[in-house]
Amino acid sequence: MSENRNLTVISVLAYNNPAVLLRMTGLFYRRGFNIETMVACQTDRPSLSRLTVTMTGHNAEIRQVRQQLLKLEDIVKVDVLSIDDCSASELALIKVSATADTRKQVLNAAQAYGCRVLDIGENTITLEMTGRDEEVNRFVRYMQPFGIVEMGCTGVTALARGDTTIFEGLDG
Amino acid sequence: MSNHSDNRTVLSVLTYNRPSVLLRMTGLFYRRGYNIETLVVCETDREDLSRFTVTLSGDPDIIEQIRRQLLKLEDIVKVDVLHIDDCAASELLLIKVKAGNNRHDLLILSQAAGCRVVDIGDDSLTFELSGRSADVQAFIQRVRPYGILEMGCTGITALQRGDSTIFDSLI
Amino acid sequence: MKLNGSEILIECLLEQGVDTVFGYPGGTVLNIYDALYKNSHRINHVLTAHEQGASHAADGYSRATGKVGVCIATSGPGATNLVTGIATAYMDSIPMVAITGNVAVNLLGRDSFQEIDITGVTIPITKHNFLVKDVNDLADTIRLAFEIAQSGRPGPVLVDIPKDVSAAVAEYVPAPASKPRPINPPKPERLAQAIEILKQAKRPLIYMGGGVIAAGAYQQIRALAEKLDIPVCSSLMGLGGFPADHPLWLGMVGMHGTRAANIATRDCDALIVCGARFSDRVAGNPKGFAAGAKIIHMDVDHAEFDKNVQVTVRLAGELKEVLFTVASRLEETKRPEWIAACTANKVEWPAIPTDPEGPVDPSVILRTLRELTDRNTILATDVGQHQMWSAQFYPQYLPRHLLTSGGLGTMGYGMGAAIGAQFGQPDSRVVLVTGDGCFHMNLNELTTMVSHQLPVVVLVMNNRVLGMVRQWQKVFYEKRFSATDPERQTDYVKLAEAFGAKGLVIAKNGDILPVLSEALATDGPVVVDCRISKDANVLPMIPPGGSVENMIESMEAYEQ
Repeated sequence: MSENRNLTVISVLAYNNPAVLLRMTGLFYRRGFNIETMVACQTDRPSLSRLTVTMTGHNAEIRQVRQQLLKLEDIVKVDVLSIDDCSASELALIKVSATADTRKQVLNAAQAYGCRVLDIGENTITLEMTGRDEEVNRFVRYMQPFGIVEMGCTGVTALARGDTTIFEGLDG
Repeated sequence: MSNHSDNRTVLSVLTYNRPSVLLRMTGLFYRRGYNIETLVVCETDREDLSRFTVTLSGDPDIIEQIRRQLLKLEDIVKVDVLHIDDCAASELLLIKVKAGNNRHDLLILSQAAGCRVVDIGDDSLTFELSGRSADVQAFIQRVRPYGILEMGCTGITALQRGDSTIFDSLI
Repeated sequence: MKLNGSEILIECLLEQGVDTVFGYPGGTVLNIYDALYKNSHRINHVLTAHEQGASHAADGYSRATGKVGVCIATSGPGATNLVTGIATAYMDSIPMVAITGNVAVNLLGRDSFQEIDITGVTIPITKHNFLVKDVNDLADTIRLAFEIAQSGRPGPVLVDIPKDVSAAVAEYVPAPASKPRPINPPKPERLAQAIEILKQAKRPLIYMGGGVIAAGAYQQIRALAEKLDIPVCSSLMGLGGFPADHPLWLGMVGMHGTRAANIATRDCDALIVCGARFSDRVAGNPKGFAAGAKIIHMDVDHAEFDKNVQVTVRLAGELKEVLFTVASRLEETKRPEWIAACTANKVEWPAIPTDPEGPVDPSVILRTLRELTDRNTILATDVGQHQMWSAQFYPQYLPRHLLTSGGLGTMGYGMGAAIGAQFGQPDSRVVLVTGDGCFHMNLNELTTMVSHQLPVVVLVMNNRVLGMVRQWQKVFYEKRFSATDPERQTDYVKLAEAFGAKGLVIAKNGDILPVLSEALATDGPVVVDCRISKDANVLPMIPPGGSVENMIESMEAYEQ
């Protein structure tokens, strides 16, 4: 959900243990690295987790983040990618005011943007929007005049474009 | 991204927007040995507040214990405990599948599941799918025989159904 | 072979060649202490007065020997008492394995008696840490802890062992000692770039740090300096890595460094930074540090590059190998003019005063001590003015002979460190130079020295104030001496005697030689009350954030 265009994606492959998230967040906090989003998920390999971090920064800062991450014992691999070289998506749930008068307009807008309608309340409609951060941002701005009641978003997950994967260069 | 049939609990946590909150929360979960499934963070419309969505399964007593522990953190404003069925809850999956000679099959399969194709490689297709965990899991199982090259998932974000919001009863 | 967790731990320590551990028993390590009792003929346990002392002793042992130091503490307060020692080792990259007990696995997370999440607490101050929940993982975890502690940039690793895990039985299969992980050499194109810079350089300078000592790269750095005729300066942590009587030696660089070293950093056109990290105590003004130089940074830790100062070439790798490769690719060079320019800035020490009734000058104590002790003498220090005087007036000729908390600046470090060093190097003389402020922090460890009759000489530079803080108050706070004049009435001789040690006093200039000689001839711990003036300063001094232009060389001149 960042307004910034020059996002860097840091894809981290880590051993799957309960302390990894704590070690990473501790590192970011302690060193004052300003990350935008961080998401964690399992991978197809039971011992490995994938953490996707997005941040904006100079090359030297990003390099420093990468090198500091690589010092964590639990971390197997760190790939740094420009967001333009990734399929990078996030998901936002947006609860918009929708009275009897505006409901149709909201639904039309949702359709135009390819949103799913998840819930219709008496005075609100909950929409699910996915895509690149700028697409999601554009949609949020578009819906603002209707009145956004609340919102939840996931942060960005990203895969390198093409056939390459995060597992490349690993033994297995 | 969970294999559980959805009997999960959603903790919607409203916090002050400070760099240490994520560290304090992950530290609490680690220290107390609470097993969470997903945790996502985002900003809210109010500049001073962030929203954390945590999903977990477990005994109601433990969940109540977690809620109380969270509320002891100075940065936390409010914790809503919700059953996942009472929420509009979605996650997003990016999945890169080996295409081989099955490009056509995969495209049909993905269309049926409501996926977007976000990238076409020489020998791979990357799909984006969003929705409830069960739908996401089902799709992963469907494409697994073709060869999953890699995937990334966001974890779950959830809003209460109907008109109520996390800001209710806040001033 | 079936063993319980505690026996497995002892076997694994022995596998690693551990002969001495420092610790303190308690509820959750009872099983481990039982195994130590049964194995006391194979492994020596040193009981300290406080867990902090044990952590510093493990650190001092490691610094003096190059081996991994080991300390053991119980859960809760035992574990938290290790924290300062672990952080001290972390900041100075000292390999250490800290072993803590914890409550049984089923009691974790419930605020049980003496439970603390020590792995959570120590994440920022360890290279890595482990909570072992299954006895079957214990042996490999201990082995991995030693591997991590020694690999790359060394540092402390903590292993937390719940009480039921130390009691549970598992199959133990012996294994060889862990080896440090291999380190990749630098990229050839970067090496070529560095070589090119050094070929062009007219005024090169080496700035070395503790990394040279950790890597054991003393011969290599000396070979490079001599082949290319490059003067050498060092951070506090690097002292001893290059002999102080070498003609290319300029001294310590930074806030309290020598005039010669600091001017050389300003004037050099190529700076080789070797195992050092541009700490704010070296590069107070990172933008102005060696501003006219191309900087070649050699380090084993990739994350050090461009962290504090942007450099021209990054040479990541094992320092011995990097230094050797660089030296072997360059022709022998002589640059007498540059060397003469650098050494011209060396300041001669004033003559030692001869008036027997004159005041006690701390620099004279240290210079006399240097005369009286051989090069193998290990000097431990605490933190503050006496630490800087030790760095300035007790020149180091050999690595691993100056034990000092450089990164964390831990007051109270010295007593434990001296104990650890004496156990690690029983044939070396160990002298602790401390201040009255630091000594009061951990003087409890005097009891440990007495129990083991360690012949450690403790020189208390007693100015009856917290001298370094007071000096800063003098310079930056208009002499508002807040809380730095504690008016303590401690009688150091009686105190030493109460513990069972010897106590001596240096009250005037004429006492220095006879009292130091007597202390050094004593076979057991000695505390020497060195009564110095509270207005003795550490000079020169570059104020924080400043550079060599801002150097204060005389307090009188500064005050005007």
